[in-house]
Amino acid sequence: MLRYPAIMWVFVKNSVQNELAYRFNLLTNLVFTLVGVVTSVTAVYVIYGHTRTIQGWTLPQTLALLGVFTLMNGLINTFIAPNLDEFAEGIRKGTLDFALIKPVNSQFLVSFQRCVVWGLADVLVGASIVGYALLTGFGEGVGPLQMLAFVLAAASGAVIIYSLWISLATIAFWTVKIDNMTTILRAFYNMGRFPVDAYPTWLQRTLTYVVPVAFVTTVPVDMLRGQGAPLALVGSLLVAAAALWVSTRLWRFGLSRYTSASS
Amino acid sequence: MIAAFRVFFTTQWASFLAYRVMFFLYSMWAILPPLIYLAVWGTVAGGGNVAGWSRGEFVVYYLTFMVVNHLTGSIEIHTTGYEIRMGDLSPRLLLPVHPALRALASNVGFKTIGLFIVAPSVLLLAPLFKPEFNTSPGMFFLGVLAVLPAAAMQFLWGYSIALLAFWTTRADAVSQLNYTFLFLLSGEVAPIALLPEGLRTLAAALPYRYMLSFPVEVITGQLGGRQILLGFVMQGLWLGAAWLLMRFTWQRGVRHYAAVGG
Amino acid sequence: MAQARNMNEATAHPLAEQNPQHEPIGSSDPDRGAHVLIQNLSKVYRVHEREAGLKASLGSLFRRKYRDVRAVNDISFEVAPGEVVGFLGPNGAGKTTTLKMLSGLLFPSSGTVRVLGHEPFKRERSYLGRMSMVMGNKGQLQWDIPAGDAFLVNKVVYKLSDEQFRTALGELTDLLDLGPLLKKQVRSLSLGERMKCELAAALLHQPQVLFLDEPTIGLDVTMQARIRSFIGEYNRRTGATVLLTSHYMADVVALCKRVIVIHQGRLLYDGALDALSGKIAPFKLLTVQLEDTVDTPAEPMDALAPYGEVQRNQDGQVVLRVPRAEAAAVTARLLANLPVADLSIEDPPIEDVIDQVFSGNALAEAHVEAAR
Repeated sequence: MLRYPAIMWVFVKNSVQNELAYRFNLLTNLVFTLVGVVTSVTAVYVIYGHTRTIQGWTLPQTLALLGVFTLMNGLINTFIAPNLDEFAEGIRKGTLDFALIKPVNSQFLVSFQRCVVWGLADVLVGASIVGYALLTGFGEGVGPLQMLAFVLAAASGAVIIYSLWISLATIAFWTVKIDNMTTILRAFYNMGRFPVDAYPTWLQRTLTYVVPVAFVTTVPVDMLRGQGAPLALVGSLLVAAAALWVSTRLWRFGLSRYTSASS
Repeated sequence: MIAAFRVFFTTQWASFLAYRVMFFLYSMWAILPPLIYLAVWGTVAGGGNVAGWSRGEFVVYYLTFMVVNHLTGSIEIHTTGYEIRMGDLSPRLLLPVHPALRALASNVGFKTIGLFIVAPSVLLLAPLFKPEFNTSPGMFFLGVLAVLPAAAMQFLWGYSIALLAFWTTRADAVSQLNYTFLFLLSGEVAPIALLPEGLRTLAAALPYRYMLSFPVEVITGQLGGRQILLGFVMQGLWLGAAWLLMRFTWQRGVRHYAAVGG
Repeated sequence: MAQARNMNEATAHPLAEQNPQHEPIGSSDPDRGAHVLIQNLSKVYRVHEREAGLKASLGSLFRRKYRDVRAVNDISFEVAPGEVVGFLGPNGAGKTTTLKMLSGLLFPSSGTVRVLGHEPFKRERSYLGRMSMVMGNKGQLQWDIPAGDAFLVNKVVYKLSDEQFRTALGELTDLLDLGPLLKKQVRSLSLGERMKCELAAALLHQPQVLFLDEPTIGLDVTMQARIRSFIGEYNRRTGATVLLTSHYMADVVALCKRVIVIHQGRLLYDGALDALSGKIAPFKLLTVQLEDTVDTPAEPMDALAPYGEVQRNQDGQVVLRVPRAEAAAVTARLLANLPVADLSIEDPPIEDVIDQVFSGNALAEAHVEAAR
């Protein structure tokens, strides 16, 4: 089973080696990561300039959430988005065939064979924001237990966003134009910049049950705030497991259509 | 020139109709990002108000913002920028009309069709947030009038940025940066009046407010006569500047293009 | 179908003599006998019929019309271990569909497919690890990384040890002159260089069965020859079974003793390349040179035209195309009536035969009839 991490490692290594060859890209991408983070942080400060809390969320707590959002966004941009764009392209050009004749899980291969290392800058910056928020008046009672719960919830958040993305991408087996679909998903993901509590009830429900973005950013930070745990944590893990399961079913279903085994 | 525009417009219209889904999604970009701030400010205001703004006023502001956002937004990085990158511009350079005219036609066509998606969506959103209208017909009319120069500015500005594709493959990054300024200084993150002192001063001086937020402020009746007049003057100045910028990048760009080859 | 079967029997697998272990269809133990076994294989695609016009296209949203397209129609053949078989046919004949069914990318509509004893469409790892596929019109290598780095992916994916990887790469580097290419980004390689790297990527794990779909397409003649000789060399060294499709007869002539011809999804011919034109060309070529005497007509062409279709006339040498069955009679008449200096009867070149067969159905049908 160590084989999959090994394969992943080769993908990352190849990508890093090659991207580093373009120093101009390195520079511009770092600049854009910084500009993006400064902008989002400014937005949070502008709002908290007029209020002390939003539905019980203090400034450091919302900052921590923004940190998680940035981190997850980095993961999306590093691993998920490039691969799934490539996947649609692979169906169009027929190069997907090569992934399907390799003796490894095809969903794994298609999900991770490309990576754009720049997103890792967002991961680092996002983690730093979380750290900064925790050190500057986040609130009482963030112990090892809360940290553990946070890490678990964040991990299942990552699994959920991945599953959402690839489930949507499998649509490419039926119709080739998926970039539009992922655009919608991005729009919903962007709502994860703020705690779902900040939204009206109908939107909260949408972000919890329809496009479960709430589990990606709000729930992990709730673990640190001591809100709703451990029920929310269990819920998050269950949703992650279910989402992953659905995504693999969809993948197999799409694949059986691609190889026309289903008709 | 008018005749050429009409031909471009009708052909663009037809091709847009063929891409309905893409249309729908592009139009959603005018609505979904501001929706986040609409929701957050609405929650912050709650039953009371924030800096004199009630919940309902935020709602009206942001709903108007969505429509104006659609009407003024620049799509040139996706149309002209793409054309340049793909090398599709060369044949257009040979035509006796400026390629910007085609870009303008596609801009107007996109906005006209998109309005049929944006307007109903905003009307659907309205009852979910319970707006409070607080404006006069005169203000409304003046504000709508201000949409035109705002859209023209964004078009020229966006076209100039798209032209950077002549020199660099990262024109989209510059466009992204431009969007960041729009986001902070043109009333998306918060109405300009609610920005901290420093940002507010910056917003008053830079062109971004006049590209988007100014018409929204006028329509929702936030500005007095003097402020409106000043706003129109600023729009005029920046529109002139944007025109010069576009001319400059175009001339340089084509010269560069001719020298390097496409 | 019955016709195709007849053909099969008529030509009696030429390799039956060469490979004693080669057994008749159906009775073979797949692992011991044939590497590739296809029996009554068919593939039917359902195609959505699109109608022109707005109204029709709106209607099709609700009530779709489908049409069945038989891409592969009741094909049977076997390939013995180590054999190199050429797969011929025009575009759309069903070659690629067949290769895709063999590599597990397509699910057969009916019939049996076995490769190395596996059913390919199950895509078992134990099968996928022992086969490989190269497609001339698309590549597995990522464009923005050097081929050498991309090979490392194949190393982990195919679980190659450092030792295995080094040996395999070394050998392929020698055979294909990859040395200077490995460090370059794939996008900066020429088409031919890229194909060399693609071949190397496909062969690093030493597959026992190799499917090549138009491996030389678009390459210049020198590079075609280079790739071709490599494939031959690889087959000799490793004993891998190779199934090859190509537009270029030269590839097939150089590499394959045996060819399988399919047309419109049906098997037209399966047998020795040498015998192909004799079997499937319905005509022969008579090359006639008339004596240079007083009696000789001023224009030899006019004299010869009544005997057959004149194909070429060069320096008094006239090539006549004569129906196969009449060749003997025509020759006799020619010798009797004209002052013949030299005369030879030949089967037409394979390229021409293939062209003839593929350009018109009538001919193909005629031939199958003739073969009965």
